[in-house]
Amino acid sequence: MIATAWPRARGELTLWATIVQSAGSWAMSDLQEDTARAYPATTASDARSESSPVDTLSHVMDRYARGEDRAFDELYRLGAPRVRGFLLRLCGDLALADDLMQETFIRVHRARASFAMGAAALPWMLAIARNALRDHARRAQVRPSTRSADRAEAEPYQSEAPPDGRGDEVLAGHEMLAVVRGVLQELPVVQREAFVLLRFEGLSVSEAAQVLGATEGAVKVRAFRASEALRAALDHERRQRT
Amino acid sequence: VTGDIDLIHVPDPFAQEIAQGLGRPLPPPPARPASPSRSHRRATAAAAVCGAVLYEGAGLAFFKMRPDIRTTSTGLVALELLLPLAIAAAAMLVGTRRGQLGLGEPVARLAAWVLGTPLAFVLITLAAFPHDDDGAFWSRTKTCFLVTALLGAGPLMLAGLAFRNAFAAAAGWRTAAAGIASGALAAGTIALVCPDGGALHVLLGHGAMMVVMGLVGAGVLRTATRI
Repeated sequence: MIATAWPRARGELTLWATIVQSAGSWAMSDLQEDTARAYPATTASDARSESSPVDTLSHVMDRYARGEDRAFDELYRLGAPRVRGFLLRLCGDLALADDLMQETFIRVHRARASFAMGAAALPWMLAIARNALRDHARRAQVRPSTRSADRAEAEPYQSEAPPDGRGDEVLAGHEMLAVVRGVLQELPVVQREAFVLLRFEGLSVSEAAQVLGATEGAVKVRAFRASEALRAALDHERRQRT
Repeated sequence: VTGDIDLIHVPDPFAQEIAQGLGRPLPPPPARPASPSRSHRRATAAAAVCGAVLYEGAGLAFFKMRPDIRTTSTGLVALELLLPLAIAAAAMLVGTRRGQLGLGEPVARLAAWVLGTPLAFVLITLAAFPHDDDGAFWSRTKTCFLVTALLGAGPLMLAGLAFRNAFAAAAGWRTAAAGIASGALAAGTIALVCPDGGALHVLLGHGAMMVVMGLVGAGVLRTATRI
């Protein structure tokens, strides 16, 4: 089924790319620049290059796992922005992402001894962050607190409009991003995780599968379903515009 | 995937905000109690392995070595002993290997091992051991099942202690592997205690504990071992 679905997805996503571009608002170069600014190393090959920040993160984590307590501050400085961004993409709430990021680093600290020598720290941290988010979701389901109820009603994280306005283009771009953001938040968590890891964290299918503790096939299916939902939403948005 | 479908065309709704630091500084690093370093964990793991071996030795001393050990076919006794021990070693290895990213073996491989090793035990036992029954099958099998459970409980608890906060991903499969290893170790020990070498008895009285402990590992140990 997947084998037949992929070529179809490819075709649909080409259409989708046209939709995104035809909105004329958010030029791909802008997006790529933003992503590059947010994450200096966003692809698996980047993550393996010797001089990348991700490699430095692994090196610092290695020192910390060996028992060098002073390395924690550096580890936090290097790893927290990545973990924070990952959690924000998954939960869409900055305050919750900050709380879970701290929880993640407490878990990293508790489990530092189990960090394998010479392993990549970022996927390991992302897997822990995902566990923290899942535990939070489970707790909230069993014992909904006032705080989580407040959060549920709270507006999702919204940024201010950029100062260098480009009129309609900027507005359309923001609308487009709002659609993607909305769809991402409505996706089942397993699909959202797979999509975020593959698209925004730059992991390969194999790497994402290891982070998620799933098979590669399952990760492909989840990402495919997420991309189908996004494509449908963007298509709907385009039709409403025209 | 990125080769098959062009995910790069999906705009990242948070990229710009993240690039600008989300308009809020990072929270301060959390306060942290003391935690073990890698060398501590290695020492704990070594102590757990020694503890498991001592526990099995104590079990063997308590339940006494089978009286027919010298008169029974050496090949069958060796198989009854070495097959579960080989499974225990393989399950432990596959459950604790660091894998490409330090997150363990891929789930497909873990699943193949976790599901395949008990199956291999079943097939080899049915093929190699005699199918004779002297009439008291269930009573002896029940006794052996309980003794094997007792022999496996110690290593399973030690595995839980040794692997506390150890698995960031696929914790269920990896603790299932640890459970299978504990059950297999117990199945190896009971082979030195129980003189009944019937295929069904070995399967249900000795080997079934691999499956039981695999399930206990996946269900109970998972929460303690997951980071």
